[in-house]
Amino acid sequence: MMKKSRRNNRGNMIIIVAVVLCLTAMALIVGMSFGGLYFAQNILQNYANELALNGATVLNGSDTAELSQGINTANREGQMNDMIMRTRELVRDSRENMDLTEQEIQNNAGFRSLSDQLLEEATESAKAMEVERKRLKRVSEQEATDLIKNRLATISKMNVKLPWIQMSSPRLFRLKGIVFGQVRGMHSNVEQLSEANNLQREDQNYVAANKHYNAGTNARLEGPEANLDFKVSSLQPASLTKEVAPARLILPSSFALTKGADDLSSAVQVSLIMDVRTTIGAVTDHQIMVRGIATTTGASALRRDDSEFTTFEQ
Amino acid sequence: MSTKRNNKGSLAEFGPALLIFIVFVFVPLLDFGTLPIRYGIAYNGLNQFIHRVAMAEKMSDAEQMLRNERSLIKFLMTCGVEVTQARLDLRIVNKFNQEKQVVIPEPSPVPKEWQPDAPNGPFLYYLVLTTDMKISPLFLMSVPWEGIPGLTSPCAVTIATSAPWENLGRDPNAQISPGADYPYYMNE
Repeated sequence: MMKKSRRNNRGNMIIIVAVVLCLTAMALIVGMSFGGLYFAQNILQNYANELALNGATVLNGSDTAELSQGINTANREGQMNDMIMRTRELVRDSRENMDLTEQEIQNNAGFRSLSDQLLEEATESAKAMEVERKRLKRVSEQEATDLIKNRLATISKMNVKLPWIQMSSPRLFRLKGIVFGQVRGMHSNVEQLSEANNLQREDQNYVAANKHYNAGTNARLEGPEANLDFKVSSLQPASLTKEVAPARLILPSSFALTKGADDLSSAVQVSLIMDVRTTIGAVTDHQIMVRGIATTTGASALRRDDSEFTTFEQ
Repeated sequence: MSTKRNNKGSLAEFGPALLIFIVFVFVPLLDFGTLPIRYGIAYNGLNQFIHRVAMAEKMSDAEQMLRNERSLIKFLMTCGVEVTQARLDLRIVNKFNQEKQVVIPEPSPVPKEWQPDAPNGPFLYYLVLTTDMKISPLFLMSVPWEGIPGLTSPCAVTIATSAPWENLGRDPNAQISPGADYPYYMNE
């Protein structure tokens, strides 16, 4: 009986120590698993932000052809918007000149033919601009997509395998891995020209309170040229001091899809997904999904020497 | 017989010794051990939050995000961290001379000489979140006398986290006088 009692007492501490050790080990395992998931989520978010910024910067960057020639204009969307609205103005001016010619100098065939030619050229320019705008959308989005995928391919080589956690390569979310859009509520970079009095009335529906053209609306003209499309896209305007707003990360609440399906995009959302497996203790499989959203650089200011008339010497 | 007495004696000693061990060693160790873990959780939560806030479009949006944030405060409360006060500041640092810096409490305007277009720039802009909080120990024991922070009363801590302010552009929707330039988003 005495011997039995001694044996029992001797075992007590071992049991207590074993229980405490087990509890401590379990706490450590749970802590490491949660810590690992947090670590993985942070890494993935940084990747998504980086990819989104890379992709967004390309949207309003330079054409690859221009870059190969050492020309870095880095404002293709801003220039496209500016050119579209100036073409619109040109078409309106040409139409007015044509009407004026018909009313006041009817008998002058030379003037008539000249104004006809100018109107036709302006109309053809507007059509060509629309084709170019659609091409630019395809090109800029394709370039951004390629850059994001190429960058992701280099990131994807970094698999993390630690004794307590395994992380797969990050990959694009299958359904909407890359989504193009714009900053919510941002108008276009094109400011209404105060000199363009002939367009003031027609512009009422297309110009916002800040005198910039609304993005995503088709600023069609009235009259015979009503079939021409003039669509400008959302882009942060340049300041008077010619500062260009840098590309930046934005919140999901500030991201919106473009109004029209064929509008130029100025922001990109990258959704990444990663498999995470905790391997010690309770083996669990998780999928972490994060989103990185960024908007492109703002428009550059128009150079005055480009926009003013040039006098040619004879 | 003597063995029997010894056994009884050791059992009688083991109980109080265990109690003393738990109350004066094990619980204080757990309490003090919990504090850095809770501090780490709070720091990481606030750090993630300030990075999110720094992506806001305008400074007023950032202020609003801070005022409306409930989920983080609830989460921290669950983790034993009570947020008592939080404020946002904008720290502006000269890029080439880090000693030249200024802290502007929000929502004060940024002086002209510290704006991005100022001639003595360029500057780096950081949104700083300073949070006063009380971190409770794991077992909060109520005692009649003044508590020992981290053991019998919560530990008062101030955490400052920062993130680069993202939107360095100008607000084209701002009301301006003719000929004036748009104000910066950070300076509305």
